[in-house]
Amino acid sequence: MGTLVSTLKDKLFDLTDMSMNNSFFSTAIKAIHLILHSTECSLWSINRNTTVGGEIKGKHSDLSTSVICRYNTEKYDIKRRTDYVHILERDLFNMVMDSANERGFFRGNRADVEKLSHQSMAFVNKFGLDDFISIPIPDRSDPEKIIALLELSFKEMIINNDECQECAKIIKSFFSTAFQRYSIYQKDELQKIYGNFNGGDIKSFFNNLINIEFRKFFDYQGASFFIWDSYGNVFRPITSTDKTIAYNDPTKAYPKDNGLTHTGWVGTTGMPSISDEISNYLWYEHIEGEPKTLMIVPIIDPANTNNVIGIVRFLNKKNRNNPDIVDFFNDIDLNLIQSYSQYLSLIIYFYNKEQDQVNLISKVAHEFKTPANAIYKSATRLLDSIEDNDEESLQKNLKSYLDDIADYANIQLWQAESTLYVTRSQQQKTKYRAKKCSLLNILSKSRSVSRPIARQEGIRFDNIKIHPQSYDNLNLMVDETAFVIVFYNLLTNAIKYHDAEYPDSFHVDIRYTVSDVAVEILVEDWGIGVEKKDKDAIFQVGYRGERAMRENSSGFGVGLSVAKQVITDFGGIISIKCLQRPTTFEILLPKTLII
Amino acid sequence: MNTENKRFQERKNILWVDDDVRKPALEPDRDELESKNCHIIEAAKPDEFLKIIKEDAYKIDGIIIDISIPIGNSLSIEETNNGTRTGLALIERLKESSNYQDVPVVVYSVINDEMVLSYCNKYEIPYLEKTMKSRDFANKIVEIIEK
Repeated sequence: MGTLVSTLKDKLFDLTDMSMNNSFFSTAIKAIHLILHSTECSLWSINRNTTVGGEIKGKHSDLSTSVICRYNTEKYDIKRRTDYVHILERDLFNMVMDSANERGFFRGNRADVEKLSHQSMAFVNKFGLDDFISIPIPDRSDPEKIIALLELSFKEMIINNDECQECAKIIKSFFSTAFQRYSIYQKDELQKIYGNFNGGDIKSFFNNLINIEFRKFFDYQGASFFIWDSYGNVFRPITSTDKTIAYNDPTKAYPKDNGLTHTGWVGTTGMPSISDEISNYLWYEHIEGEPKTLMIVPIIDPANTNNVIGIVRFLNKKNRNNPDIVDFFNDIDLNLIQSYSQYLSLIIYFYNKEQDQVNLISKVAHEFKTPANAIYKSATRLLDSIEDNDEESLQKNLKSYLDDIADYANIQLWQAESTLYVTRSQQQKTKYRAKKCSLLNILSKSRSVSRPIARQEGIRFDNIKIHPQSYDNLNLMVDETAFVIVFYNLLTNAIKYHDAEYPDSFHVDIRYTVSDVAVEILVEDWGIGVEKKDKDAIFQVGYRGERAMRENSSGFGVGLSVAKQVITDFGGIISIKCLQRPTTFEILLPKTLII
Repeated sequence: MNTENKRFQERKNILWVDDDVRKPALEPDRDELESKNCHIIEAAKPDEFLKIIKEDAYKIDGIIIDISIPIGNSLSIEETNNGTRTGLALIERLKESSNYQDVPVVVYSVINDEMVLSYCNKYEIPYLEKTMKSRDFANKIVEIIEK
């Protein structure tokens, strides 16, 4: 073995003792450059766009290279974008790879230097670069995959082919291992951050990751975290590096079924995406200029690997050597975030569980305390009037305050009944007491107990009508209280979600008929309606549609789930037949219930 | 007449955002406040509240904010935590408005969990729980405004 080769081997062997950090590669490149006396020595990462259904999800190329580090002997002012980031022609790359497969490296002349070493011809001519060597660096865990290129340019052929082959072997092995070590180092560093997370503020934790921690390994103009909101059926942004105006736009959230967008595609397939074909619309992440490169990594539900519970998104990678240049994302970046996503998934999973619980408790507290509070206030006001001997106030307020007390007590009573049915059904302890009941009586009672809600909401009670047609005496074998709860929930939902602009024109119609196979009951209301995306979800426990949340704060999303539970338990079906004007709930009960 | 004029001039304008503000549930509170020469400017939703703030149409002496109110169309679901913290999102918006920096804000709600109480504590915003008697509530509001 020649002196050159053994010197290189010894030097790189010494470097393996060096602790891994971001300056490791530049130290190694400088060493190679000095030992082999090159005019320039550079290390380039290979970037790829993600393949989606056999097609490359990017507009330029599936291959590009970005400079990781370089050393020049000659002073040369590097200005062009292609000196930092370079699209690779597939044919040229194949030419390099064919040669590399044959003898471990590619060696070219002056024309190849221009094409492959990413230098301008001016540089090549100025320094008379006539010899060029490219050494592909394979991924240690997947040797078929090339993750980087080490490139050397010379003014003349200093090393012969045999020496070059020996050097290529050493360099390939060294960098293959180095990239693996670097990957482990990055993961270890990030794992320490996870170790510091003690279940506190998830937003701050994620904010710190995208603003500080991830940037230590690759930098970008914008990044954000999205968390899956199962009730809203969308990915909602939870934190972003820097907000654009759109961040506060309440309509900006990604539907999971929107596979047309990159984010939707990742959310649907659970596959990561790297792309340079991006819509130029207003992104949540504030970026300079146009969006050009994108990397999205899904965060998978630890309890169900088919389910994406979050997304982390990076926009416009910054070139390591020149932050003003928009770079491409690569497998090294992707592997880092993907390997870390298992920690992120645990954080999001427990966060969602906790949030659901906190929200439900908060809503339950609100729903029970509000009527209790109203009763208390009316009662204490009356008592104060009595203690003060305020006859005038008593005369004036006695009836209205007693009405309020009765109304709010009624509201609380029926809310309690509904909630009890939810807890019982969740514990599968619901025991129905079926007996012969008139359907008209059930509907009338439901209507009657809804009166207080109608009064509180300022709705004319006369506008809630039952149209019995010719089935006045229809009797069913059902649990009367359970069925009153069903229709009470349907009616009070309709009332709560009336259009506040037009309370007088709001009305509810209840109709029922008996067909050949079923008893059909329709509840139609002229309220704000149901959005298509909420059609099925509104029957889930705790679910509140977005429109409902925007219009009314009352309710904690149990009414319709109770209704569905009861109707299903009696062999029936409940569904939304029409979304709006009128919003129509259809209940079909088996005719075998008729008695 | 002079007494009436003086009473009018001393009247306090209170902006109250609460979806129940026009409902019977808060009637005793409203009555008590009005008996203490307070004029209530009602906002049942964040949109109404933010419009009043933006237009700056009234001289506001105090603001009462509920926590669990509908999100409306001006706030995002994310910033209101699914509508369970809408009031806190409104306080955040209020901080951005230079005209209201010195106007006392009171949180008046049935929601008394750790998040709400620690928020109020951090920003020194008085928290009143709705379970208090209407008379005590009105006295407290007047005391806070006059302070």
